[in-house]
Amino acid sequence: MNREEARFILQAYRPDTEDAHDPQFAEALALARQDPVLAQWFANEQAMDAAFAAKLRARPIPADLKPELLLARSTIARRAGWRRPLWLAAAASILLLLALGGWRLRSVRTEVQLGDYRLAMTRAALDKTEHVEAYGMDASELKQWLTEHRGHPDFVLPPKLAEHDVLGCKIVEWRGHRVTLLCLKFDGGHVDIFVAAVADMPDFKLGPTPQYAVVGGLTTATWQHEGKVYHLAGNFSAERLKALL
Amino acid sequence: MDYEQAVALYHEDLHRFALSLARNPDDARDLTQEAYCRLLTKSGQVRDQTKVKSWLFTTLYRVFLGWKRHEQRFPHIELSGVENEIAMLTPETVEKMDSAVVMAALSQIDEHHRTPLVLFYLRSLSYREISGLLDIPTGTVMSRLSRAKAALRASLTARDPAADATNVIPLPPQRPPFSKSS
Repeated sequence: MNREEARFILQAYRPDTEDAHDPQFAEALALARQDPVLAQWFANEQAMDAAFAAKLRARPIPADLKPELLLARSTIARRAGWRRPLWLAAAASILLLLALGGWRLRSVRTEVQLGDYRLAMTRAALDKTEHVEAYGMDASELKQWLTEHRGHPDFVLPPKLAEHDVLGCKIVEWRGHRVTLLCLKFDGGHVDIFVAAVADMPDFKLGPTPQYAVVGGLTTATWQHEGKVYHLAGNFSAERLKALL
Repeated sequence: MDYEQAVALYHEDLHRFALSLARNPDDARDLTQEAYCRLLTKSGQVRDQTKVKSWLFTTLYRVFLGWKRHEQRFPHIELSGVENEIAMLTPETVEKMDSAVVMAALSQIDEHHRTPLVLFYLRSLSYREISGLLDIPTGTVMSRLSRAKAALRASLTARDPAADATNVIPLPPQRPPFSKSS
């Protein structure tokens, strides 16, 4: 191995990591110990790497990222059974059955389904590539489009929400059921309202009072009204969304 | 390790990795959240709990590639003309630089070279894991790393008014990956 070959290998070396035990670095490190010119270059390279790594780590992490990630767990973690041994999950299930009866399991399943729906709709709301399929329509064109695409043209929005212009719409699917997405202009940005048939989601047990949750960084509100499930999602505070409902 | 630990231990480096890929904070947040959402919904795929970290990094990278395939969400900017130059920056000069300036220079490097460089600096993954994540041989990782370092330094020298523009020495031609690990 000559000096140039050693440099090529050593430029990839990271001290205090697994690299120290990686045999591919051993020969180059040995050469650096014997060659003062190479040793000087290597010391400078390490200092440069440390300086760049520090700059990369100096970028602030959004303070609300961690709470958001932990909140995501509350919506879907029960389904995941994360890191829980199978026997423990089975034992817990039996205990639940004995202690609480089947109604409790149904309640958990309902909660998981609603969380799953919220998450799926949040993903649709965050989809910036094909956020809507049709746009620039007036009210009658919108209803016609929704009828033709087997959406929900008979939606009824809360009065304050209905004051905002519809930017566009599309049909998304959840577990084989069609859900209408309406994108409304709001406060310099937009909010998305998802409309689905209660008959397609009979287990949700929602009422007319919106249930609020933060999912994937978006504030959401979900409620039921006249045979429809409504789910509002936007990158706004809960207070701002409440003002719309 | 449970989900909370996975969030506490890895979310910062994952976000940094995501930011280096997406090059804007909103998409970086989305990518990080998507990786953790998949951990919750597909945790069954992570049979070896010691692999949670590399699974998260790999998943985030795959999500990024998937998004990229469908959109112009992450415009691709090739950095040309600097690959074979290495600037005479010193560690002290870098230390004095604003991290935003360094990140901006980093974001100018094309993704194929930027990704291994960021993973190198984050030190979260071994070369075997980086190689698996990028689906390229370890030697190729090192080649790309070498060129990325040169590109980053050249870019920062160009930005640094104090740097002497004549203090640029040519790099040797790009090497093929060495055979041991390929």
